[in-house]
Amino acid sequence: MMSNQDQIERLQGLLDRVQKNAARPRVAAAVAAAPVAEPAPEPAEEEELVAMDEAEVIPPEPVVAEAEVLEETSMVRAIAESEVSVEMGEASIEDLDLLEDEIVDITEAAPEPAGTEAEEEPPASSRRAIAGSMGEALAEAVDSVGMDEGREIPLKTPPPESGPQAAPPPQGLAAPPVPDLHELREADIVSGTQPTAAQLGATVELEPAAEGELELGEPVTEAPPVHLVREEAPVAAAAVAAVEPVQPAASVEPEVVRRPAAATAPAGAFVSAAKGFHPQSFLELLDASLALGRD
Amino acid sequence: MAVTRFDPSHSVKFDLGRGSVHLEGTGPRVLVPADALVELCKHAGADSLTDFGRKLGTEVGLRVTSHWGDSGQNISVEGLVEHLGGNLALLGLGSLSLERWGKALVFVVEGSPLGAPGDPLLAAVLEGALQRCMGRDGRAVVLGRDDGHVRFLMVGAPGADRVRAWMAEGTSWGEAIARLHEGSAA
Repeated sequence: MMSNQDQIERLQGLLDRVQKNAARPRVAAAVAAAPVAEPAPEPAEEEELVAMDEAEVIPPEPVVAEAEVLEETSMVRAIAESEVSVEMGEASIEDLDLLEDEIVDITEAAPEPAGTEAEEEPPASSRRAIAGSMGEALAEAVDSVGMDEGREIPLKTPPPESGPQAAPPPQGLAAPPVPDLHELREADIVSGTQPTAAQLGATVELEPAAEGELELGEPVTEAPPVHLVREEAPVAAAAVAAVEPVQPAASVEPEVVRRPAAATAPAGAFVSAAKGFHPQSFLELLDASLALGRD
Repeated sequence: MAVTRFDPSHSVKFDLGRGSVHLEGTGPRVLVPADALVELCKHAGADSLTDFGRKLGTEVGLRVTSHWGDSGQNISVEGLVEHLGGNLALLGLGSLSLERWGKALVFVVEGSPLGAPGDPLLAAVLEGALQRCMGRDGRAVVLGRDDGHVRFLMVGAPGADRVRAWMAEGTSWGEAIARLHEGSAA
């Protein structure tokens, strides 16, 4: 059995703890978390607490516990009733204190304690940082709009919770920009080499070109006209080929096929009397004709 | 030598009052039907026909010679055809032309009204005319007739016999003329 002095000390300590707990804003959170349960009047609770402080003989009414248990789930209430019913006889005040801790722990079990959150750093792609106030949220929204204006919308939606990322270069939407040749310097066109850091600000002696000339350096007026070449080249080549015969090699002799000489035998027989007979008068012709058939 | 054209002007004179027809430079003529003359020639015999024809030819030759005078011996081929042909035409015996096959002289008469039966008479006329104007005795051998044309080869008596014999054997007149030239050449 405890002495009266011990009980008084314990009660005073308990009173301090109860007052500390009362200073917490737990009443409003409990009311908002259980809108369905019948709200227990807070003044009644305070009255009961005060009554406990004043008359410790009065056994604590299970109403308070019941009222608080009603705000929790049925399992919690069952546990609380059993604990209360079991421990109600010896140390009901400690049980009430434990009951207060339990209630607080159960209602705030979903969010992890602040100490654990600070120790474990969430990944960058896990979730967005939650703004602490409305001003910060508006500022973040303004920043996100500015980022969206400067970048192009990607073809594929990025996976959720990935956070802002740099947009990939567009493919197939537009050709890469063509450099303006008028703005390029001749040196940039001829050679793509850039001066080194040591060469900047120093005079570099360039060696003269060994052979050849740059095509860009040739004047346009000196270029031969194309149409003249087209007109003269084929005709001239054909004329030369037609005039100049092909000279055979010295060892090659042409093969000539000639018609054989005519045969010595006459090709046909002619009447000798008919050759060279041209009568000058009718009497000459008559005499020749009358002479035919004479032996 | 220029060929003088045959001029038949006023060659024939018809005296209807006297009932006579006169050919220039000759005596009276009788106009008879050609068919009647052909029938007469057929029954006259070869010698009588030849004499009758040569008498007609001698008159033709006389007319040719009377036109040329003594220069008739130097007459050209064309000149003789012109005047001999003209006088034959006055008699109504057809149109005369000349072909020369080598040395052979061939007369061609076209349009004779006597036809094939009168060919021997024409041959005798040609022989008489040439004998009168040229003083040569020759034979006119009938070579053939086609399309109103009749050909006469002027040769000597021996040559005429050979050609007739060859043609009687079936030799063409062209081949017969060639053979005449082969014999003379040898």
